Parts: sequence; structure tokens; C-alpha cells
Amino acid sequence: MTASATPFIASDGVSKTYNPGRADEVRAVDAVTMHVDRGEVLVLEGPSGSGKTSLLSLIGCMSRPTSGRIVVDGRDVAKLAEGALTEERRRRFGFIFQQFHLIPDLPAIDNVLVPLYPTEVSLREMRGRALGALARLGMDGKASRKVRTLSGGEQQRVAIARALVNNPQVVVADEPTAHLDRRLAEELLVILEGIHRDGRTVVIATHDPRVFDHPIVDRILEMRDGRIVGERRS
Amino acid sequence: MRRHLKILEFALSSLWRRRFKNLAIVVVYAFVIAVLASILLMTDALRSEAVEILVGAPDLVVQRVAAGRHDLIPTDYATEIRALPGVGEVRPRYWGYYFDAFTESNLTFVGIDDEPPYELELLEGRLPSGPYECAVGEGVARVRATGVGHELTLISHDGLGVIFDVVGEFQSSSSILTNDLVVFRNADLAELFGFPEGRAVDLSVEVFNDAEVSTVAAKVKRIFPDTRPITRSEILRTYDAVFSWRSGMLLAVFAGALAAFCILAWDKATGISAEERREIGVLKALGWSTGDVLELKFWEGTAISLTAFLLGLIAALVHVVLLGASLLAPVIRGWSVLFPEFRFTPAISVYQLFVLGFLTVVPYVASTVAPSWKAAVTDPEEVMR
Repeated sequence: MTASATPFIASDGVSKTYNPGRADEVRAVDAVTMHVDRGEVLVLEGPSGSGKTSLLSLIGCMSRPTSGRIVVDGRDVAKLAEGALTEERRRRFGFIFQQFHLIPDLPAIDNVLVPLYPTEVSLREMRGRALGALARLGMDGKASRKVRTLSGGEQQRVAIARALVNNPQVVVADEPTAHLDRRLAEELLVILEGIHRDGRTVVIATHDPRVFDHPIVDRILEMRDGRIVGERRS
Repeated sequence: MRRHLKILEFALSSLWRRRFKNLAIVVVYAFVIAVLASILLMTDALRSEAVEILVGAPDLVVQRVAAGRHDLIPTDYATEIRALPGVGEVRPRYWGYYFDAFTESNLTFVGIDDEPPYELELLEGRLPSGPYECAVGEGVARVRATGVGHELTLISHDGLGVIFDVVGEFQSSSSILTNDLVVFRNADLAELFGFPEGRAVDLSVEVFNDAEVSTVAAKVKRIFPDTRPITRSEILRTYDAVFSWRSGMLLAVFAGALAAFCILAWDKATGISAEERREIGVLKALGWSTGDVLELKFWEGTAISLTAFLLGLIAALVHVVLLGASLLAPVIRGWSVLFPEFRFTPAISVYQLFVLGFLTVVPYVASTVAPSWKAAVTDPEEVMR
């Protein structure tokens, strides 16, 4: 474990309840206390419905907890206003979604540019950064191709380039290998290894043994029914 | 500022991505705007026609009534009316309608002595000053293929052909007033229509003080019980009724177009597609705030509605000003169907166009932003679920 005195991200008794007070109320995250150290690769492991994605959303400032605290770099983000929370998300985090969530009718480069539009970065610099991110993933030659014409693996790379274009401190990946064959999954892990080598923190939610058995993983938190039931080092 | 411009750029690229759908919306929207703007422009044109006509209307018109019908009036009535206190000029007027069998049009004939009854603007030539001369309106010149230096053959009351030299072609600012008009010397018109010596169609009376017009009218009625004095305000009411009725017809069409617009806006306001909802979720997850998303949707709505508004407005101007409102004119022509075709005098009210713009662009933008707001305020994690 690469624990330090002050964790980069920490949750303290965090719970997340959907549809509270209704018949379909779901307690997705239940009083979770955990932390993520700066520069580590952490895996949240568990079966579907165990609360991995909900906890990932909370850590990534995508939603607020129903109760408890989430501290990112010393700042309690659960108390932030919507604008500040968005700014925190945009500044610190890059997201890789299970379904990629690319805009299929846009060229690859325009997809990568999307996180940079609501910023003061100039268009020229935006394009430079996006091309750089694509080049790093070997996709610069297909920058002007519409995403829907790309293969699954290529789309995955575009999604990763988009996650990196803001130069985030933390890369959050939700089930990144769920739809990939063995070769593409291995490629992805190599890419994540490169991201980690850059000094970025990586948090992955997965139930794929190919990921949590990989040597880049520092630590694994096992989740069941919204709770952390175990912790082990890779 | 740079951020806003970039969001605008993204909005335009989003519109381009869905260009076929957006083009369809712009076409329908522009059509509705074109109908609404045409109607507004025509209503304005009609209203200004009425105003133009009233500018030249006399203070008092005295007609003779026989057996309950309008009859020719003895011109010597003018002498006694002129002697009434507060009365200025009293002129016999010669005018009438003529069915032109060649063109199957109704023409209006007016006689003059020294000055015309309306403010007429000559396009070319002069007003008639000698025998068998006439000046014609634009519509008459067009349908009879005549003009200055040419002739106009008419059939007199006793069935004989009479040839007039066309010495002028004119227009006035009101096309309804002059389009079907032919102006002659009084004597020529009296001869053409066969008016008996010493009789005119009516008398126009000038009253110095507007407040005394009704008093003068009452005195005329007392002196000549067989007359019907018509005051300017009565003329105004008559014209107003005619023009209001025409405008009312247009309002019926206007209501239909407005209903079409409401359906379009309602369709937009009742929801966004699953694809758009997902895209909003992705944008939020990637660091767009609710305000950024709403700004994006605002630019999209503004771009579509302003484009449609401008296209619709240009189409309406072309339709009303250049094409003479050929698509909507039959709705309002009514009794004037036999008149030569006339073009509407352009009457563009910037205020009305602004109101039209406000009432169409703003609701559309609102109906674009409102449903997106609902999607934009939800947590971006929805996109991950």
C-alpha cells in the first residue's frame, strides 16, 4: 500500500440512497469509509449491483452523497455548489465510461475537444492538446474520422484521449474492459499503465479478473451490497 | 467571452450534425413566420390605404336622395350651401363606375376641374386639361395596354365609342385608390355618362371649423330635405368597417398560422429525445455545468429561430411587396374582385416586426431550453447507470 499521511481522496461514512422515502428506494452505497492515495491504482471490485459505479461517481464528483463526507485534496466536495463541483470534476478528473459515450457523428478530434469547450483555453490550444492526446494513443492518423466509422478498440482509445485532454490528476474508469476482447483489454491495461507512469491516480471499477490481477494495480477494495467488505494488495 | 464563443461554435456544430432534422424545422418554422409576417404586412398595408383615402376626403359630402336611392344633385344647391356661415368651397363632383367589357374589370371614373379630389402623384405626363383627354391609373394602363401618348376607347352611355387621349399616368400612395382610376375633365365625364345639364353626382363641402361640420350638415338637411349630408367621420366609419372586415379575414388566417406555430413550439417543449438527453448527461460528466448546457441549448434555439425568422420575413416581404401578396390577396379582395389587379403599397411597421420576432423567437428558444434544463439539472452520474 502506498498510503501517505493525507490521502488524496477520502470518503468518511459516505452513503448514497436513490429515490429516498419511496417504495423503490435503493441504498447503493452504505456508510463507506475509504481513501485513495495520490498516484496509486485502486480497483473497486465486486459483482453487478454492489455499488462500485455509485462509489466511483461520488469519488469523481459526479454526484453528492446522501450522507457523509468526501474530501478531494483536502476539500470537502460534498458541500460544494453545483458550479464549484463541476469545476472540480473538470479540473481534476478524466472519465472512461463503460459505453464510451462518444458522440458518433463527430470526428474523433471533436469528441476529444468536448471537455475543453466550457473553458478559457483557446481553440488553437484545444486542437493542439486534442491532437497530442490522440497521438499518444496512436490515433492521430484517424483524428478526422467520424467516431461511428471506427472500430471498438479505436473508439476506446478516443474515449481515453478525451479523458486525458484536460490533463487530469485522476483518471476514473468504469468497467473499462467489459466489452473488450482479451487483446483489446490487454492494450487498455498497457495504456492505463502509461497513464499511471505519468504520476496520475487511477481508480477503476470492475469485476474483470484481467484487471485486478494486473501488476499495475496497487490495491483492491472488495464491495458487496454497497459496503466495502475487504481490501487486498495486488 | 472566449468560453461563450466556443459554446456557440459547439452549438452550431451540433445543429450541423442534425442538419436534416434542423433543416426541416427551419423550413416549417420559416413558412409559419412568412404567413404571419405577410398577414401583418398586409394588415398594415390595408390600414395605411384607409388613412391615405381619408386624407383626401371632404369635410362634408351632400348627396341627393330620391325614392330612398342616391340620385344626381342639382348643382345650384351649391350656391345656397356656400352661403351658410362657416362654409368655404362647395364643389360639384362627377364620378362613377364603368364596367369595361374588354378586360372584365370595374373602373372608377372621376372628373376634375382644376384640381383632383385626392392627392394624386403623376408618374408621367399631366392631368387632363382639354377635351377628350384623360389620365389613367397604373392598373388601367396595364390591363388596357395603354399609357401616355396612347388612346383609351370607352363606350358612352348611348352605346357609342369615345376615344380619349391618355395624357398622364399616375399613382397615389394608395394603390386601392388609384389603381382602377381614370380621370377626365368634368364636362367629358358628364357627357360620357350622360349626366343632365346642371346635375352632379354629389357636392363636396369645405367646413372651416371641424366642430361645426354636424351643425352645417343639419342646416343643409333643413334647407334641402331631399339631400343626405355625409360627414367625414361617417365616411371614416364606413371605411373603417370595410378595412376592419378585411383585416378580420386576415386575422382568421393569422390564427391558423399561430396555431401551427404553437404546435411546433409545444412539440419542442414537451421533451427531448433519448439521444439528446444522453448527450447532455455526457457533457455534464465531462465537466460542462448546468449553465453551460443551457447556454448551448440557448444558442441552438436562437440560431434556428433567428434563421427561420429572417428567412420567413424575407419571404413575406417578397410575397407582399414584390408579388403583390398573390397567395393571400384572394382572401381579402372580396367585392373588388373585378378591379384590375393591384399591388399592395408597402407599409412596414418596425414595431410590429419586432413584436412578431419577440413572440416567435422567444417562445421557441424557451421551448428549446426548458426541456433541456430538466435534463441538465440531473446528476451527470445518470449517464453512467
